[in-house]
Amino acid sequence: MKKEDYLPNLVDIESPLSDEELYVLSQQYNNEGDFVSVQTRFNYAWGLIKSRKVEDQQLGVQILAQVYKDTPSRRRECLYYLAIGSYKLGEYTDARKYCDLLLQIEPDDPQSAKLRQIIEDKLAKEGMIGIAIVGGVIAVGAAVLGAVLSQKKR
Amino acid sequence: MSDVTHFSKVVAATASTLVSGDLSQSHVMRDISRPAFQKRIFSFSKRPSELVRITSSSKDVLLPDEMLVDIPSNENQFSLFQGFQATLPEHSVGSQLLLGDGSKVGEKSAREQLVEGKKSLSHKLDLLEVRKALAANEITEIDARVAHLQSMRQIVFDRVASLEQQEFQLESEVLRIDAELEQMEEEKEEVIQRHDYETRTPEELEDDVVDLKSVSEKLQSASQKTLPRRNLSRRKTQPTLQQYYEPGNKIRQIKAHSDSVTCLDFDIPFGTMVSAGMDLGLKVWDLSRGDLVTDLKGHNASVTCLQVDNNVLATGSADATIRVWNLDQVVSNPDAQDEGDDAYTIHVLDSHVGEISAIHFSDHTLVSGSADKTIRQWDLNTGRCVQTLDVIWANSAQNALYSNDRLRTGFDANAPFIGAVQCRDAALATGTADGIVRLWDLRSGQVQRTLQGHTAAVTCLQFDDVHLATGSRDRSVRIWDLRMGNIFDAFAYDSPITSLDFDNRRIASTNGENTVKIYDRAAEKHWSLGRGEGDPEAPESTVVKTKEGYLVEGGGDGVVGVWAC
Repeated sequence: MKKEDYLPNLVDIESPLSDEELYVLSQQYNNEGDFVSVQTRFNYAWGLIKSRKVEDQQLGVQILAQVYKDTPSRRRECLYYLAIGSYKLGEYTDARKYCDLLLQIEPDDPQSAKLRQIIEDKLAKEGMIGIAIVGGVIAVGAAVLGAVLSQKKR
Repeated sequence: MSDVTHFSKVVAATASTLVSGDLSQSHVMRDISRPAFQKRIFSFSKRPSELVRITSSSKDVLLPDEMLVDIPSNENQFSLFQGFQATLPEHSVGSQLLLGDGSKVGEKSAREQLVEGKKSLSHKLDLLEVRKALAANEITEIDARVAHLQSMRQIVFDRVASLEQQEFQLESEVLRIDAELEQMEEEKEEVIQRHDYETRTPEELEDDVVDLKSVSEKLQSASQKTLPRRNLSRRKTQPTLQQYYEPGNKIRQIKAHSDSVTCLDFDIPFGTMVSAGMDLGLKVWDLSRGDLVTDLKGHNASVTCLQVDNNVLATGSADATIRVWNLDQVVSNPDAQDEGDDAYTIHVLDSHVGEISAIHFSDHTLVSGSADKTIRQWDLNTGRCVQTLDVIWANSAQNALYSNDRLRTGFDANAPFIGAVQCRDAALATGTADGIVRLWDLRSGQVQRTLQGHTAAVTCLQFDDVHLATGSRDRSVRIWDLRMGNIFDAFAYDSPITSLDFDNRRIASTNGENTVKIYDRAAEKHWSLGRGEGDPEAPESTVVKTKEGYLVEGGGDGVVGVWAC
């Protein structure tokens, strides 16, 4: 198989599976019971992460984390998907942590570097909004504080 | 799914605390004054949008940091993603391939079409390759799991074994205390009787001379050896460990005798076994440890048949005597024999004038068959012969058509005249050298029914509530329906049957070959176990006994093998 097929294209992240496809994967995941295979778990988890629903993404990340714990030989791959999953969930700290770990192991990996870049961009954008929100909270807090203090003085 | 509901609950909780008035404000204030919280807000490691979500879900950390250390390099042939691609239904992958050039199909040249076709075929080939690798991977995974489960099974198996060992010890302790209590009770009665006697006036004493005699008689009889009253059915626990062995696996092997094993029996799985051999030995074994308990002395010739039941051992010997032993005494006090020869003997039954070939007892009745061509019935309470049944006489009276000559000579000079007996209440079944199985009524001493079919001497026999199983030198095992008196099932092996034992689930028999033949009654399947499996040079099996999947077999070389079946 071609090398570029080894990991998914990053565009792929935002293209969810159809409901039927996800249903097939979940069926397989459930049918294999307690002894569900690594591939089946991954398939379902990846399908879930690609989904637009937050609940799905959450579950997907959880399954992936379990795969990571259970099969050391797949850890490196799992890290990449965990990074994507965390990114989609908005847990950028985790996403960055996983990405950094990947780059630490394989500094020249273009996919990881690209993902890292995307996360950084997102962080920068959120940071601006974040500062605004925090500023707002501090302002309100200060106002309330002032009100309380002035009440006490009386 | 529960995680998701949990998550939504947590979100709702945080939201409500933020909204609901004063209390939450003071709560927030307190939080803000904490350095940790300040650090959290002002460090840019966590963004506000994260704060909302993360405070709830990240409490249960998915991957603790220590898990993030050991990351081996990737040696898998295909990535998980490739596996994912290969698993997805064909059409979605195929449609992706056509994307982009779908509009130009018409303008393609023949060459381009061929190239396209080749591309799609090689893509499919790739997919197949991935799928193959996936399946192979799964096999490896399953193998690893099976190995893991096997090792877990071994651990649990050992646990069952040790628990059962503990049970066994406690149980025997309880039984010992029971016996002691009984003893004390008896002694107390004696003391009361004596006390009564001593407090009487001389006049009364004279009147009571007769009474005195009866009392002394009582005391005497109490000190006499009686059948042990203890009953195995009092046991609370039953050994079940044998069920967890693979059928056909050896549990233990004991080098019991220096010559062929003639007969053996045991009480319960992993309990006590008694074996006898052509070397004249009569030995008691602890099956759970494989240790010799003691060597029983008393018979002057080899023991030909024996039975163990409820702590009573009965042995029939070529010296024409039958001995009944207190097996309980043997086990609890294995050294007592050195003090006196008869330490364990309850009865010696010596009315037969020929070699004993078969015995069986149930409750207080023992029946024995001898080379003197008679069957005797004994009362085990008194040790007296209750009646003698003459097979030839019974045969001529009952069935004049059937030649007595055949009975006198037998089909086979090698087989004992009375090959097997079994009794229950008033019923007695005998198998004899003429190949006929007779069912007797012990109350009348008459033959009630004859079962004809075997064409050579009957060597072994056993019945339960419904069926009677017989093995014969004609190489066949026959199962008879006791109520109808007809054949229920029959099968034949390659050589004469020498012994047989059955329960609800299987019939085990030996036929002078080096394996024990098992017939699984439920599955109607024949199989065999023993040293002969895998070793064609192994000596033959001579006798077999089985209970609840636990099988003990004696070999021609004096070795006793314990197997799971």
